[in-house]
This record gives sequence, structure tokens and C-alpha cells, in this order.
Amino acid sequence: MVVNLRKVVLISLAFVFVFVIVAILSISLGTADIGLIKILRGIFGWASDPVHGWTDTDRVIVFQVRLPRIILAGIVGATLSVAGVVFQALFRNPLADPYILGISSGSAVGAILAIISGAGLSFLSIPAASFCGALLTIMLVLGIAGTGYRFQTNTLLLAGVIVGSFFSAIIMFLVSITQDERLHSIIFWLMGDLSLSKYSEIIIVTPFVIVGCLIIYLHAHHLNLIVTGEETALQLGVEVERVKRLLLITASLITGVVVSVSGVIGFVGLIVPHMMRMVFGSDHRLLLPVSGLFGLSFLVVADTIARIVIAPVELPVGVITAIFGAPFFIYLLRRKGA
Amino acid sequence: MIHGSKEGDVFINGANIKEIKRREIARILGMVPQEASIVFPFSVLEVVLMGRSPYLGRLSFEGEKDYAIARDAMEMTDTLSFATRSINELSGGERQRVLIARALAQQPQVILLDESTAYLDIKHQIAFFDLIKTLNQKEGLTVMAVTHDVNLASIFCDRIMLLSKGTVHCIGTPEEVITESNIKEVYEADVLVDANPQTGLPRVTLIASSLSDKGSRSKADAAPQL
Repeated sequence: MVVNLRKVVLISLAFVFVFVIVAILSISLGTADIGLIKILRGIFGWASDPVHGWTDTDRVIVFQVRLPRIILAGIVGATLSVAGVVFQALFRNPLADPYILGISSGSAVGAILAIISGAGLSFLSIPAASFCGALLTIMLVLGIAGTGYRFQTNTLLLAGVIVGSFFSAIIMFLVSITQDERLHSIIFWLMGDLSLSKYSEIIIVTPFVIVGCLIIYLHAHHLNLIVTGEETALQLGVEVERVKRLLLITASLITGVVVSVSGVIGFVGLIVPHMMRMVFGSDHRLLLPVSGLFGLSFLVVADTIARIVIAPVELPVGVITAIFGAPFFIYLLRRKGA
Repeated sequence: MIHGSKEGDVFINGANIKEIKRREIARILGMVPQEASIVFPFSVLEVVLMGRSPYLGRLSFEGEKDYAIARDAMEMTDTLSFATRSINELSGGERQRVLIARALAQQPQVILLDESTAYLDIKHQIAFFDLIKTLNQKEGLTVMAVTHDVNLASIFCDRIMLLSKGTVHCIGTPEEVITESNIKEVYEADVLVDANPQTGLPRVTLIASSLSDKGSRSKADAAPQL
């Protein structure tokens, strides 16, 4: 129950192991039947025998289509989960998440504007614009909700939802008027879609996510104290304003960066941290790593379901997360209303 | 002191708090707030261990020594029996005791009470201050309490400072400070001050003007009133 380093490491390793299993299963599933046996033979017989009965098509499907998609899904899932934990702690609100707060939609608007303006040609400008979109959205939502230090669950969430739907409309508008072939479809931006994942995107996103998560983890214990009240945290030696500002910016950054490559995938940052909190408690020194690592597997599973549930047609992954996430949100809201 | 001062300076052990790090201050000053709205289900032990954070490094976890100190703090506040329960499930009185334990785990020289009993009923108010007084006498802990409850202050405080509109109205022992005229000037309320039958300390009785024409009823009523 009480957290120590050994526990954090062991549980984290267990989640990494789960992710490897999930990833292998996910690679073997899909419209083109490759089969688990073939995949396993590919992994374990790699050095000795280069053939393994793989065809060139198998190779393309595994390495160019499914593997990058799974890796990107994992990164996006982990990032949204970690961002969810941070927003929940900073706003002392278990229902806060990058999607509900409108931050994901704000990031998407930023990314779209960068692409349309042509600035998107430079590979860093899209993540940078998404980040700005995320940051502006947070300030807007906090401005609307009022910045009193007592947490106002409902106003904050309402402000987020309203700002989010406003930005969704902007997304529709921008995508409809531009007809820009560099731009993804409206569906991509509104529901999230991982079907076009590329290694180049993974390479852009990963450094931001790793650095962001490290910065956040360095403040894990500060988050524990901030969650129990800002005055208490101050009194226990935390420079609350500085930490809050740093973590808001960092969480916006990683959210913005992943939204620019995955579109707006909702509810991940709500479901994953909540499940982890129920199992492992509220100590952020454990909660942050397990949420991130469970987020890896969670979004890969969701995306695999999206790929195969009505195959050969693929659903955007956001459809799956919303179908599970929205009822879950209502359940949390009702339960908290006591 | 927690938020820093707009005007003037605050000194702790001769050092200006503007020039000491928050973590240093946290090793000297502990605080029990009015009420903790802890939304997430931390266990009581976890909350008490948070008192150790001024002594922890950035990525380190609490060690044996921290657990021992937390356990002592919980023993002193009689909270050890619900160490594993969630802080959200406790009653108001229990929760305030946990917060005292957390403040004690900071091993401070001074504890600040900020209206710490405002939401407690009389039984728990008395129990709270009895505990604080014991810690003051046995552990040599300095206690500074902010309260609106003049009677509680009279019973438990050695020295009282009466504040009015942001300035010090007067300062001294309960006998010196709690007088009918001081209360009238600061609270703009008519009260009766006599001696507490248990301690002989000043006792304040509120006077209701709507009842004052019914003779000496307020004097005759012997029950202590808050």
C-alpha cells in the first residue's frame, strides 16, 4: 500500500511485460492473417534463420503498417494518460483530462493552422503550434472557470467542454474551406486516427514525450502535496506556483505534440488514471509510471479493436475510446455527486 | 507566514523568511489548516508521511526513520488505529487529528493552527486543544493558534493577542486581554466576563439584547455559553 522504489520498479516492469504481450498479439491480428505462430517464429528465430516462411507482403504489413501504428498508439496512450494524471492533480479534479478540458481540440486547431499556413513544412512547427494551441486553451478554460483556488468541479468541466466544442467547430470549418491535401480528414482531427502512423512521426514525438514525462516525474511527490491542498503544499516546502506553471506547460506540450500526430482521442486520460488509482492508490510516484505504462497497452488494445471489430472497415480509435469513455465519465460524475 | 507578507518582515529564529527556502521553513513551522479537502483517496499513513517531505530528496522515498517518526506522531495523536483507512472516510475530528500528526511528522519547533477546529463540534474542539496543550507541555512545542472562539483561547492559551482591523489591539495573558471593554471594542458585542468555575480564567457570556428586558436571566443562566 505504501510506495517504495522497489515496488515502483517491479510494478513498472510488470506493465512493460504486459505491453510486449499486447503488442505481439496486436501485430498478429488484422485483416491480413499473419498469425501468432509466424510472428513468434519471426521474433525468436531471428538470428539463426532469416526466412521463417515470411513473405514480402508479411514483412511490409508488419514493419510498415502494424508496427509503427502500435508504437505510436502506445506513445499516444501513455502520453494522454500521464497528462490526465497531471491535470487531475493540478486542478484537484478527478474528471479533468486533456479531452474533456478542450486541450486536445485546441492542440488540433494549432496543428491545422500550422499545416494550412505552410509553416507545417518545417518538421518542428506542427508540434510547436499544437503546443501553443494547448496552452492557449488551458488559459482560456481557466479564465472562463475563474481562477479561485478552491476547485470548482463543474465550472471547470463545463468550460472545458464548451471550449472543446467551439474548437471542434473551428476544426470542421478550417478543414472544410481549405481542401488542403496535406491536411488529414475531419474524422482524423475529431475522433483521432492512428491508421496513417509513420516512423517519422514517432521520431518527432518521442523526444518531447520522454523529456516531458521526466520533468513531470521529478515533481511526482510535489503533485501528492498539491493534491492535498495548495496551502498545505506551500507549507510543506513546495514552490507551488512555479511547480504548477511548469507542469501545466509540460502537460500541454506533450498533449499538443501527440495530438498533432494522432488527432483528438478522447477519454484515455480519464479512464487509465482512474483505473490505476483504484488499484494502486493515489501516490503519484507510483501512479504516474503505472498510468503511463498501462496507457501504452490500453490504447494499443483500443486501436486493435478499432482495426478488427468490423474488418475490413477500420474505425477511428477515438470511436472506441469514446464508446467506453463517455459512460465511464457519467459513472464517475454520478458517484462523485454524493 | 505561509504566503509571505505584503508589508513588513517575518523572522524565524532570527532569520527573515524571505531569505530562507520554503523547505527550511517547513522544518521549523508546521501547520494544521481549517479543513483538508483531499479529493483523492490517500491513506492516513500516506498523509502523515507527507509531513516528512521537507526532509526528502527529489526522487527519494520515505525510509525507516521517516516511518518511525510518522508512527510516533500517529501514536501521540491516537490515529495509529486507522493508518490504512482512506482520509476521505474519516470524521471531521479524526481528520483534524491526522493533520496534527502530519504537522508533528515535520518535527517543527512551532505549530500554527489556522482556525483548526472551526468545523468541529464541542467535544472534538476540546479534545483537539487538550492534545495540542499536552504536546505543548510535554514536547516543548510552541503553538500559535488563530481562533474566533474567545472561550477556547482563554482556557488553553498562555498569551493572547487581540487583533482588530489588521492591527494589534492588545496582547497579554487571558486575564489581561479578555475583558468586557476589549471585547466590546474589537467585536462590537456586549458580553459578560466572569471567572470560569473550573480554572478561574476569564469566561465570556454572550448577551442577547432581545432578552435583556427579562431581568437578570443572562446572569442567572449558569451554563457556559460559546
